[in-house]
Formats: sequence, C-alpha cells, structure tokens
Amino acid sequence: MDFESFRAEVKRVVSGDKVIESRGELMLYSYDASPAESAIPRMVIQPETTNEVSEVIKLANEYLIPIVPSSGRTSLHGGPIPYNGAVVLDLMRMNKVLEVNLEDSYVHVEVGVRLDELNAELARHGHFFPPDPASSTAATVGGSLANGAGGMRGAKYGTVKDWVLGAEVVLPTGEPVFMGCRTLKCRAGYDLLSLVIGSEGTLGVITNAYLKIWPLPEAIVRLRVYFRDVVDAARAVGMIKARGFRPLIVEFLDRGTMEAVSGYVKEFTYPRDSEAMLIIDLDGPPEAMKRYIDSMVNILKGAGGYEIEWTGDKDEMDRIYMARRAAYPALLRLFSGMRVMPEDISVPPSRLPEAVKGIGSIASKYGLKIVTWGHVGDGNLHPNIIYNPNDQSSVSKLYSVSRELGLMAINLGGTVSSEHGIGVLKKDLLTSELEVKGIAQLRLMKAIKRVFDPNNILNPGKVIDID
Amino acid sequence: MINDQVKLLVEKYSLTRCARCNFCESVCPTYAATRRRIHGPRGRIWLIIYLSQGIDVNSDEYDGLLSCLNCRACNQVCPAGIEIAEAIHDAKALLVRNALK
Repeated sequence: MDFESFRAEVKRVVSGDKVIESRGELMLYSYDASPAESAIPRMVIQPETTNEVSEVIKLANEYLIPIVPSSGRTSLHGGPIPYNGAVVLDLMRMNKVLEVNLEDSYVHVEVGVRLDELNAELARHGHFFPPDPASSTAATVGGSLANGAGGMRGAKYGTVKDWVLGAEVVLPTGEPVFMGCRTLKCRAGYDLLSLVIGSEGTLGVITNAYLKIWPLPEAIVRLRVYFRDVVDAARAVGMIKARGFRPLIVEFLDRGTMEAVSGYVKEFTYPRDSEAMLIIDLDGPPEAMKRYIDSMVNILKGAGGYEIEWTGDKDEMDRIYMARRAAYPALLRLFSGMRVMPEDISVPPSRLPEAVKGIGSIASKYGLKIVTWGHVGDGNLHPNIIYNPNDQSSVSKLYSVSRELGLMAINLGGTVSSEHGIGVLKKDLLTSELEVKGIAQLRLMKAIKRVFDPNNILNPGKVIDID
Repeated sequence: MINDQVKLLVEKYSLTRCARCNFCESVCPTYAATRRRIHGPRGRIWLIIYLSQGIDVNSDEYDGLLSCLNCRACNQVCPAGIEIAEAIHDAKALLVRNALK
C-alpha cells in the first residue's frame, strides 16, 4: 500500500478542494449514529461526478487502498466507519434531482439527495417515493439504497429494493456500469442490481438511480387505538391484514414509549390502564373512507381496542402522530447520560404477540430498559435499548440484549435486520440466521464479494468477512 | 487553558448528548452552501468536543466554527434538545477572545 503515490494520483483526478486531510475534519467521518467503535479515515474525497468516483476507485484498486462510500452518515450499525486507515468517499456533493418523468413514472436522482428533499420535489408533481425511514430528514438516496432502507410505509409499499428500476454503479474495479433498466419490466440476465441494493457499499458505489414514483394518496384517515394488553395490539395487526386491509402505516407504541412521551410532551396523555397504542393510516379514494373506517373500528374493537379515535383533519392527524414523532426525542431527553440503541428485527405479523412478550423477558433478564415501537404492519419491531456508554457492563449487556433479540427473531421465523442493515454490529447474527436458513449461502456471499471486488478494497469487513 | 474553558462549555450544553443523527446538518444553510461537515452543526459540535479533549483544530476548522450564522435552525430539529447555536456562539466568543490575547 503506497499511500503517498495514491494521494498524488488522487489530486491529479479530483481538484484539491475535494480532498480533506486535516485531522479535525477527518474525525467528523470517524463515527455514524451507532455505538460501533469509531475510526479516523486517512483521507476524505468528495467527488462530484460518476467519472470522478470511477477514477478514484480505479486508483484505490491499483494501490490497494480501502474505500468506504458514505453520505448522510446516519447508519445504525457501523457500516460507514473507515476502519484500518480507509479513505472515505463522501457523496454529498452529488445532490441533484436530475429528472422527474411522470409519463414513465420515475425520478432520476443523484445519491446525495436526502429523502425528504426528494419527496418535497416529487410532491410538486403530485407524486412521492414511498420508502420513509425515520431518518428521512438526513438519510440520503444513496445510503437508503445501500442499506436496503424501509420505514413506516413498508407494510404497504415494501422497502427501497421494491422501488429501484436501475442505477449507475461504479464497480470496485472502477468501471462504471448501468444496472437494471429504466423500464418497469427488466429481464436482462442475472439481477445484479438487487445484489448491490442492500450491499452496504461492499459491491459497488451507486452514484445515481432511477427510482419508481407513485401518485400521492387521494385521502388519508388516521386512527388511534389503545389496548390493555400488548398481545391484543399485536394480534390486531394480524386481524387487520387477514381482513384484506393494507394500511399505509401501522405504528405500535408500547407503554414505555407512551410514558416517555408523556414525560416530555405535556399535552400527551393516555389511559392509565393501556399497555399499547396503535396509530393506523388508511389511504384511498375519499368516498370509500367511511366504509373503511367502520370496518376498521369493528376489527379493532373485536381485538380488544378501546378509546378509538379517527380523523382526516391534518392538524388532528399531526396531534395523534405526535406520540410517535416525539418518542425518540423523549428517550434522548429523559434518560440523561444514557444512550439509545434502536434495534431492528422483523417477525411474521402472526408471531408479533410472542415477539413482544419475548422482548419483555430479555429486558428483565439483563436489567436494561427497552422501549419498543415499530412498524408492525410488516412485523418490524424497534426495541430501543437504553444503556450507559460510560459503563462497560452496561455496554456489554447492550450487545447481549441485541444478540438475544436477533436470535429470538430467527426462532420466530423472522430476521435479524429489517431495514437498518448488518454493518459490523450484526455480522455474527447474520451468520446465526444463515445457519438456520442454509449456511452454504455464506459461502456464496463470500464468493460474490470476491467476484465483484477481487482486491477487497470496497468497504472491507462490513456485512461479511471474506477470510 | 482554552481547553479548560471549552470543557466547561461542553459541560454547560451537555454536548456529548449528541446522538449523531445528523438531522441538524439537513437544515443548516452553511452546510448546504459548502457541503463541508466543518460548516454543519454536527461537525461544529464535535469540533468543540475535540477541542475540549485537547485535539488541535486547524485554521480551516476554526473557520468552520466561525462561519455559523446563528440562525438556530439546528436547534429546532435536534431530538436531544441541545442548544446547538448557543454552544457554537459561546465557542466562537472563546476562540476570538483567545486570539485577541
């Protein structure tokens, strides 16, 4: 590894103002939003074009310099942390919405555009891009594609993998290629694009993408319901789906979440005997809403729901949603000196009652507080583990709890990561999941990594270890 | 000596509460203009923390702190409720006072 020659060559292909080498600024790339160990990169490069990305990666491949692509750096698993003197490729300067094409129903966008910025632009055209991770304010198109992001609307619209038509990808050898198609149907050989989506920057650097877009819902009605038993709330989700409803969102908040929010937002109150709350959004034509609501209220009552409220008024909808929106800030402010690790598991919706109970048992076993909310329409739970970063025993419990939650999800037929990814924190759990599903897949994954990236220069050590 | 003063500032605003979610950067006008993280709230907060730990900050990074417009957009979106703009303002005052000595 001849870093001096690499540095000189990089400055030949990108201008000096796009290369960062001062220590303080490099340190700003040493972390993400997870508890993973930090590491300072040797250099940060801020390319503006696919060509610049390609030239830099060619050099990295030639000089065997590890490269970590990143943008919003909001990851929750250590994926963009530059271990072993890696160079960070910061894609935030590639931030243009290139084309909104309503006739062909796509948006062509560079990867440094944040999801909320993208949706603000699309809303002007009456459309939206459905995947909506909670971090959409800060999360970018590139990070979302690389991490297979989902969000609240996942139950109805799936995750980013369902919304990408094609993408320009720079391979770890530096060759730019266009994967996928611009058309909805696409059978051009093996589906390499699907391999790259969710590969966390280990198989290629996405520089721009053609994303599917969808018309904004004609009308939305929001319902709020409480349950005296978390298991009833979880059961209600299965009943809603079994009756043929596909709500836009079904958000679950446990009692711990409601307590935290009420301690932070004075206007928020909840019935003292309730153990869980669901927020449900139904979308569709305005004339069908009354029928939908009547039917939904019946289902919820049948499942043990009470104090059911519904509204189509925007301010009222915001008021109901406040409980969910304020949940994360409430945790950060109420548990001072502590940190919050948002876990991310999925189970089949029919197994939610067992999962919710299991989370309670794991919390008691380790004596750490876990506050759970989740996008339960698709069985995705976010148990938020509260730990003390300055107490080694608390940190070690955090990792034990995280591991047990993952193992529980596997046992219930679910998965260890729904929408956050594997990064460095969940590599062991990934192996555990593959042991159940067929460990031969780990061999395939390693082989795929070697075929894409023979010199192991692109985000090495993330998702899987190849040695 | 400036490190000690910066340490007090880090404590006063409990800057280490930063959960590094980066919501603040998305509303910051100076970050939007330069796309350099030293010109964004999350970057500035962590530069202040690094200063308090005795890590040297170079002139570009000082500029990053000084370029804050004090518009306070970051304060509005911070889930941890950190008074980011005020902390940066105090840090700027410390740096300038120190430079004038």
